[in-house]
Order: sequence, then C-alpha cells, then structure tokens
Amino acid sequence: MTTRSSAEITQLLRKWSMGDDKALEQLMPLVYDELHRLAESYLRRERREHTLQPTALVNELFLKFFDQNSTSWQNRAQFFGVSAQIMRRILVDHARAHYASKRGGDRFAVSLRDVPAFGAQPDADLLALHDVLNHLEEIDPVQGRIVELRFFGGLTIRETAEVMKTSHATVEREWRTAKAFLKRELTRIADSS
Amino acid sequence: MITHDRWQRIKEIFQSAQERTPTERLDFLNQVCGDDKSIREEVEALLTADESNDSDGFLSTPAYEFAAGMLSDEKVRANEFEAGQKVGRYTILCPLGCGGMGQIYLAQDEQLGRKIALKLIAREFATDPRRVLRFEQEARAASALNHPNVCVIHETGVTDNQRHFIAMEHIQGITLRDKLTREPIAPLEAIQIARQVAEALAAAHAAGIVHRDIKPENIMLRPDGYVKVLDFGLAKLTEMIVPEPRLEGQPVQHSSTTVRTESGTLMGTVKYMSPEQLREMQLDERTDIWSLGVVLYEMLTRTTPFESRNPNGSIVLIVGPQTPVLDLPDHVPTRFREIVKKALEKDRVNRYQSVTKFAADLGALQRELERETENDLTPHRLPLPLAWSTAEVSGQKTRSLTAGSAIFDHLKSQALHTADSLFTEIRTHKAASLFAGVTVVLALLFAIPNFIHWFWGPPADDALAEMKFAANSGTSVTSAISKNGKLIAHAEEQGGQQRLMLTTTETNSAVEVIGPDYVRYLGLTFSPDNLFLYFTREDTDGARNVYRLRTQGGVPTKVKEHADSPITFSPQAKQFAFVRFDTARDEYLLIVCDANGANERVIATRNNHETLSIYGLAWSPDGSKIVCPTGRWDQGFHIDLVAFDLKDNSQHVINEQSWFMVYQIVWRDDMSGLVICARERETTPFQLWRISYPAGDVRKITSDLNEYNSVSLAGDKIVTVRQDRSWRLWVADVADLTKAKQITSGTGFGYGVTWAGNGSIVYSSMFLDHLNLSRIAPDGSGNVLLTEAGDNYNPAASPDGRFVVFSSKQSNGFNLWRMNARDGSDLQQLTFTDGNFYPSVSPDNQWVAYDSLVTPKATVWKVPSYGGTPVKVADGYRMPAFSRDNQWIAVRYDEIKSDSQDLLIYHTSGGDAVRNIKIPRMDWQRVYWLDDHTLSYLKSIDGAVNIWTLNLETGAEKQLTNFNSEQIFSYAWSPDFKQVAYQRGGKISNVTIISSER
Repeated sequence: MTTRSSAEITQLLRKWSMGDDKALEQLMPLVYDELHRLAESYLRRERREHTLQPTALVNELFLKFFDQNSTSWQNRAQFFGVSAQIMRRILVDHARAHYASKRGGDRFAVSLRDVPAFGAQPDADLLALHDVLNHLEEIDPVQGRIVELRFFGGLTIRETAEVMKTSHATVEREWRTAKAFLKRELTRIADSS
Repeated sequence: MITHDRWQRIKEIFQSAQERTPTERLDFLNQVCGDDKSIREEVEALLTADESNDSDGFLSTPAYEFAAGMLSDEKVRANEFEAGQKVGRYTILCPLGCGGMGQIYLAQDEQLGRKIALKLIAREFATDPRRVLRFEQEARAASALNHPNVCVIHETGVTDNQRHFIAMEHIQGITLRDKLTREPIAPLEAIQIARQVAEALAAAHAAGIVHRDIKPENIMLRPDGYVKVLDFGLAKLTEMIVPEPRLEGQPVQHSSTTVRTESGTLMGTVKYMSPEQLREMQLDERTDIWSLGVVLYEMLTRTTPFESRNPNGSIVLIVGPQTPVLDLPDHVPTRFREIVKKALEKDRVNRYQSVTKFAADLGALQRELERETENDLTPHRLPLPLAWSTAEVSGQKTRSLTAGSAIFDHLKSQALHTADSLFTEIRTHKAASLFAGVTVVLALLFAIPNFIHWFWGPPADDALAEMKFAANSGTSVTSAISKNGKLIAHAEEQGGQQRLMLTTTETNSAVEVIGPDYVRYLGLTFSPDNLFLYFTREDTDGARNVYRLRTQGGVPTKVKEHADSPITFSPQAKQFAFVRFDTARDEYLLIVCDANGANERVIATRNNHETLSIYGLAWSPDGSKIVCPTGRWDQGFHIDLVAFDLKDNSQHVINEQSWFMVYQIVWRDDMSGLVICARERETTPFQLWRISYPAGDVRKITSDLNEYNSVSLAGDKIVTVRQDRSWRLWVADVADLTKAKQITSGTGFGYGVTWAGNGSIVYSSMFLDHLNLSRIAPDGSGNVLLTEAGDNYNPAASPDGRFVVFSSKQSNGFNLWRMNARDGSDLQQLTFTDGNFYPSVSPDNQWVAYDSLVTPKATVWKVPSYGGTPVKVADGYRMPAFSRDNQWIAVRYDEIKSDSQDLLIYHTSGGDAVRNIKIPRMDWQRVYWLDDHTLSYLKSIDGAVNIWTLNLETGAEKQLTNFNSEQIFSYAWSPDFKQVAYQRGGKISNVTIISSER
C-alpha cells in the first residue's frame, strides 16, 4: 500500500473518531477493494498451509495500510472496526449476488439445517444472519457492533473491548447475549419456513 | 418485533439468570417475570439458544473463515448434488471434495454396477462450447491411451440442468499433496512416483497431449503403489483458441489451432508453471517436464525451488534470469541432483527434450538406488509401500483454485496505452484519438469469459448482473444508448474509415446510418426526446463539428463548428455543452450554446499546463452544473472531476480521487452520482466506475482487464464499448520478409523493442501489472525478465549492445534509466525532470537523446549515457534518432502544435534543421536510420501498418513489410541490419450492455 493510502486512511479515521460520519463513508471504498482482494486471495490459499488466525485477515490488511510503528492503537482499533463493517458488507453482497444467481433472484427461503456451522447454504444462512443482525442493531446497537467485530471482523474479545472502549467482561456478556438472541431469531425463522 | 425497551428488560433478566445456577434460575425467573408469560418465554428461549450455542459453537468461527468457499471458490463450492440424486445413469453417493474446476462426488454407475468419481464442471468453465468440445476430445484421447498411470475417463456428458460432468475412474488413495503435508518422502520413493508420472506423460505426449497442469494435487497415489495422473485435458477448458503462428504472408489455416491461456484464466499454481507458461508462450511437452521437475524437487525438500512469500515473488524467480538454486538435502545423490537440474532448466532448449528421456534417467537412478539399498540391507525393499494411515481417503480430492490469486490478475494484466502515448493524447487535440487506431479484427475466437468475474473476484459492484453484446463488429469505436433504451448508436471502423450504425435494441438489428468515410466519431449523444442523434465528428479536413441526425432517418445537419468533445444536453435539451481547444490562444474552453448551435457562452477555461477533457462531460439532471474532467501536472498527470456551477460560476472538485485519465462520463438520472470510464494509473485499464454524488465515493462497476471506452445510461443499462488487446513479437530476415517467425506474445499492446547485440532482443510488455522489460533471443529462446518494478518501456540499446536505456516510472515521474543489457544490473537513473520518453543512443554509445514532454512544447535533449547534465537539442520536436555516422539527429515535429507531418534532420553539433521530410503522423510512429541516407518509419494504408523506408537522396519510398492488417507497435533493427524485430497486434472492441445498473 502506498503511503498515500495510509495517510489518507489515518486522516479519515481521525475525522471519523471526531464524529464525522462522512469520513467512514469515504473510508469504505478505500478499504473495501483491498479487503475484498485480500479476503479472496487469503481464502483461496491452501488452508492447510496457512492456518487462519482469528484476526489474521484484518491484521494483514492493517499491515498493508499502515506502518505499525507509526500508528497508535487507537487507529488500529478503529481500523479493525471499519474493516469488520466492510467485511460484513462484502460477504453479504457476495452472498446476495450468489444466492440470487442460484435462485433466480427469489427471496431466500431459509432452511437453517446447519445454522451453527453455516454448512449447507452459507449464503442463505449469512443473509438470514444479516437480517436478524439488522434487527438486533435496531434494538441494541452495542450488541450489534460486538457481533460485527467478533464475527465479521474476527476480533478477539480483548480486541473488541479495545475497539469499543469497554471492559472485557462487558463484551463477553453482551456477546453471549447477542449470540443467544441471534440463534433464537434464526431458529424461529427456520421453524416458520 | 421486540422493541428496544422490551429487549433491555429481557436482556437484563437473561443475563442475571445466566449468572445463576439452573436451580436458582427457576426461582429467579418466577420472581422477576411473575405473571408476564411472554417475557418469560423470551428469556427461556434465549437460555435454550445460549445452551445450544455452547455446544455447537455458533458464530465462534469468524465469518470470513466459513465464507471461504463463498468468497473464493463459489463455483466449486456448494454441494449442489445430494446423496441419492441421479445424474444420468449415476447415483450420487457423497461428495469427495473440490477439484480443479468443479465439485467431485463419489457416485454409483447403475448400469455397470461400479463406483465412479463424478466431477461436475463449474458452469463458469463450460461457457464456451468449443472449449468444452476440445476438452472432451483431449480427455477422451488421454483416456484412450489406456495407460495404467492415467486416470481413466469413462464418460463426459451434460446433466439435465446443463452441467458438464466427467465420470472417471474412482481412485482410492490420496493425492501427492496430501502425502507431502503428512510425511517426508524418501528419494527412492520420490523417484518411483515421478517415474510413473513421467510414464503417463510420455504416453500422452506421444499422442500429442500436453497436460499443462502437473502438480501434487493432480497426482493420486494408490495404496498398491500405483500412481495416477488426473485431469488430462482439463486445461483445455481455460484456454483460448488463437490461430497457429504462421509464416507471414501465408494463408491462415483455421484447422490448425494452438492454444494460449486466455487473459484472466490462467490455471494452475504459479509454483509449478514453467517460464514459458507464465509468459504465455506456445506450450509443448517440455512444460510438463518442468512441472514434474518442480514436483520432484518438492518431494525431496517439501518446498518448491521458487518459493516466495507471494506469487509475485515466485513468478519473478521463475521467469527471471537467475539460475534456480536447488537446495537439495545432503542425502540426495549427485546423479539425482543432475536430473532435477536438467528438468528445471529455465530455457526449455536446455531442458530434457522428451519426458521419455526424463523417465529413463529416473529409471536408471532408481535401479542404482535400489541396488545400494539392497546392499545396505535396509528393511525398505521394493516395491516401497506407499503407506499412509487411512487408505480410504476421499479419492480425487484435489486442489483449491489457487490460480485465482490476485497476482494472476496482475500477471495476466492487459497492457494498455502507456503514459507515453497517452501524453500525446492529453496534449493533442487533433492527434489520433485513443480509440480510433486502425485495426482489423483478428481471427481470434474470443468468447466472453463470464467466469472472469469470479476469477478476478466478483464484480466490485453487486449491481453488475449481466453483460451481453449488442452489435459486434469487433471494431466499435464509441457508443450511446437512447434515454428510452430503444436505440443504440455506435461507430465502427474498417480500413481507416468509420461508419455510424444504429441498432434497435428490441430486434437487435443494426443499420448503417452514415456510410464509411475517413472521419472519426468522437462522441454520440441522443437527444433526451430520443428523436435525434447528435455526434461530434472529426471530418476529413480535420475539423471537428457537431451534427444532428434524425433517428428516423435522414441526412445529418451540422449544428456546431469547432467542437472538440462530445456534447452533453441540458435537462430540457434547450442547450448543450462541449469543450473546445482554442489553438490560437492555447486554451481549453467549456462552452454552452443553444440546441441549434447559437449563443455561445464560455463557462470556464483552462490553459498553461491545465486541460479540460475533450473526451466527455456531463450536464447534471437538475441543470445546475456541468461536470468536466480537468487535467493538471503534478508529479505526473492527474485528472480531477470538477463540477462547474452554472448559477454562481463556482467550481469544485467532486472528490479527492485523481485519475490518470477519464474518458466519457454520465450522470445518473436521479443525480445520485456519475458513471465514468477512467483509469487510475497509466497502466491500468479503463474501467467503469460509479462516483456517488455529493459524497464522491468511488466504486468500481467493472473489475476486469478489458477496457471500457465509452459510457451512456438508460434506466438500469450501461452501454459501453469493451476492448480486448494482444500483441506478438516477430523476427524476420530483411532478405526474405515472408519468412517471419513469431517468438513471443502477450496481452495488451507492445511498448517497445530494441536489439541489444545480435544475441538478444529487449522488449517491453505487461507483466506483473506493470510494463517490464524482458530479453529474448531472436529464435525465441532464453526469455528472461530484466526489470522487476515500475513501468519500463521504450527500450533503446546502445549500438555496442552493452546497455539499454529506457523510459521508466521507477521513481517519481517518467524518466530515463540505463541498465546492463544482459541481466538488467547496474541500474542508473539518467534524467530527473519527468516526462522523458523515446531514448535513442548515439552510435559512439556516449549520448542518449530523448523527448521531454513536461513543458507545453515538446523538446529534445541529450544526456551522457553514464549520467551527467542534459543538453537541449531542439524545441518543439520529439522522438530523436541518431544517424549511424553520428552526424545527424532526426526528430519529429511535436504534433500538438501542428498538423504537419514534418521530420526534421539536425546536425548533431546543433544549428538549423538541414532537411524537412514528410512522414505519416500516427500512433506508435518511430523513425530509425538504416544507413546515412536511408530512414525507416511506419506507414498505415487502409488500416494496415507496415514498415517503409525513405532514401533521403533520391526521395524514393519503399514498402518493406507487407501486412494487410494490424498495428505495428514497435520495431527494431538488428545491429547488422539484416533482421528486423517487430511487435504487432490488434484489438477487438464490441458494444457491450451491462444490465442492472441501479
């Protein structure tokens, strides 16, 4: 990554942290392509040769964009947050496109045979999850964000706490609750379809 | 729907309940929920869910990990077929895994009562029936060999839902890849495996079949010691059919085709690819020898000889000039090392010439080692048990498609106009346009590779749903769709002439509305009421005017004189806007006038190193502003999208993104943004982008390696012209030019060739996403990469053949560099001003003459070959060429200032020009001295470019080559002037509709 990108991202992150929501929108495209590309090449590798680390993907992205020594943890945390959001967007977009192409564009009928493992129909499952996560975000933005960071960003509890500027225990508790909520909602959808 | 407040309450109870033991929990719930049954149910449901989460690990794996299949191998991912399902006469039993190009299942052949492996080819690979046919032919041919080491293919066919499948021998065993990851392989065992692979290959080669994708994933090991090679013929699915390289002047033999890996579809893992494969040369059996050599090496070391942290690195190692470092363990016998070394000779001329010899050497070594082993009385007697713990492992489980790595995007990158030719464009308002170059359709049978989308990654924009061709002449120049979506206009070119076509989208029938003439259509615009087609055209006299034509038929009427850009209408179509370059004042003007051409009003101007785009501008749907790309120099050339406000005359840049080049642009009807065709860097292709407004967010609509050259919108459709390009490097004897030989080829255009001594030709081509220089012998051997970074082109060798000077963007801007001609060493930067191109080395090797384009007026300079202070040679000229006696420099007049085709000749010591000669002004023009009174140059007649010579004393012109199609991008004379090397090529451009632009 060029220093230009790095500087730009740092600046946008700063703006964003100072409450400028537009900065996030500007940040998105900068990170989107790179994350997308990275995710693709990353996931396409022989899995056995490259054991995935929990935060490896965003870490790698981070390394691409920043000289770590010159970047504060603050930036790093924010960056991870943004990356998680973008990762979600990528995966959902992808699932949607893929699902539509497979089902002729029909609204997905969720069959959550394998919700926990996201086995048989990862795209449908992911879209269903995305929907219920949207719901969760409405009623509990904090939990929504935790799910995004943990599940889509691959952040650990500690990292999530750092990004959210909250305690380890809180993240753990809210994460657990959020998961229960999501699972229950997904099960409901599955049962009713 | 749970509300926020209610959720807070539920959450609180749930979390408190969780902290309690199950027994305490009941009491607690009774207590807090009381009679509120529904809240209690909610909490209990959560608790149940929580319990199951603990046991099933819900969401415990990051999304991207489980989404691996979704993001990367979506075409081979899903188990689309379930157990019990019938595919023809086969019943699916269970999935075996993902193999090359498709999912593999274990299935029961009901007719013959046997188990088989059924590979379902992903749709993306089976879009082109010709490729499928070729694959089937080759798969069958390989299968017919009936060789014990070749996996038998029982049948190929198509399922009810049009999926191609291969029914093949079910091999119980593991892949060599599996084995490699589990345990080390002893030398003797490695030989045994390699030898069986070699024998399979020998049989195939004898039948004229090259595998092209030998790697551990394609080699199966059976428990009984048999080795089976999989996937013969599969490479055919991803290859492009191109005409056989032939002697110039001979008729094309359509029956004889050879294959070249198609842009963007190169399969296989880089690590096993031969240098010639990475270079996309014509492949023969020796590529398999190389790949098997790599596999052999890996068996001995568990790593490959070209291991690098990223595929880019591997590619550089494979293609670069370095001899491979074969770091074999000490216990590997010398004889063995020699075999490996010989299989891994970069130049295939030095490699094993036949796999039979390779196998024979392995056989001899095997016997030798066996004797030693017996003498040692080691317990491992032959046949060595190929033991593994679980023999019944999923059979043909092969590879994940590593070929899709992002690097391949780069590797296969299409080369595009370089900065150099673009500078000409940017600076020229009357010079040949980017897209109007003369071409003739190649006999290439391009299929539109739909799978290119997944291959390059899915389109960056989810709205990109469909692409289909409308009118296909292969030579489309520009296009436009009417607002109601019913008409598409496009201009196409044939033999240097352009004609205008109108297509009714409903019937897809095209009619010629203006016949061919020596004009250039610069932009087409339908009036908002769909009744008229306006177009800006460069007429035969070089004047650029706007015309109006009834879409119902009629003759065009001129509505505006001297407009250099396409036009854009105001919302009510009462006015239109365009850009004019005022030659007298050296100024670009943004002009608005009435729809009939009257009442001109200048909205904005640019001069003095800054430009307004003459390629397209867009009036906003609310009428308030016009967006026009503007150019500036600031460490290279940059284009910004600037909105010119019509009410308060203010100007503002839409976003911070700057481009190297923006071509056409169009507003979306709801004013939510613009769609533009633009390139970010000088070497990236023109792609379609969406710029949101007012936020200015940038997103790619297309994300591939083609070029998109125009853009217009109608509803959810984008209409554009999409272009594919390729080149080939030929060498010919001047004595008999009909006997030319193609020595290499590539995608994109050619960017310069020079002859560095009789032993090697240095040329520029797109490699690793950048233009790089390579060296190749005139017979096509010894192709090595000389540069690794930056964009390097316009190579010019010193007459002594020792060094090469070239334009490069390795540091800021475009400057000249020098390197050792043999291996690219001793890099030195010679100029530092930016904008320096077309070097030429003096006959005494002491000076390098070159262009400087950074000032408004082109200048010619010279600088000492080993560095020093540049000296100005001439003003207003470019592309210098030294005469052989070092007496003269020929320079071309800077085309921006004049229509002149002048070539001036100066004495090297300075002074006034002594001669003024007419040569054609055209893209890629280059002049060389053949002797002290003869020049060579390029000339285009009816679209075919040839090399011509001019005798300065007699004025006699002579056509040297005799091509009747294609461009010559560059050419160079051998030091003895007995041979000439040239890069020729062409492009295919078609009108393309992209649907679902929301």
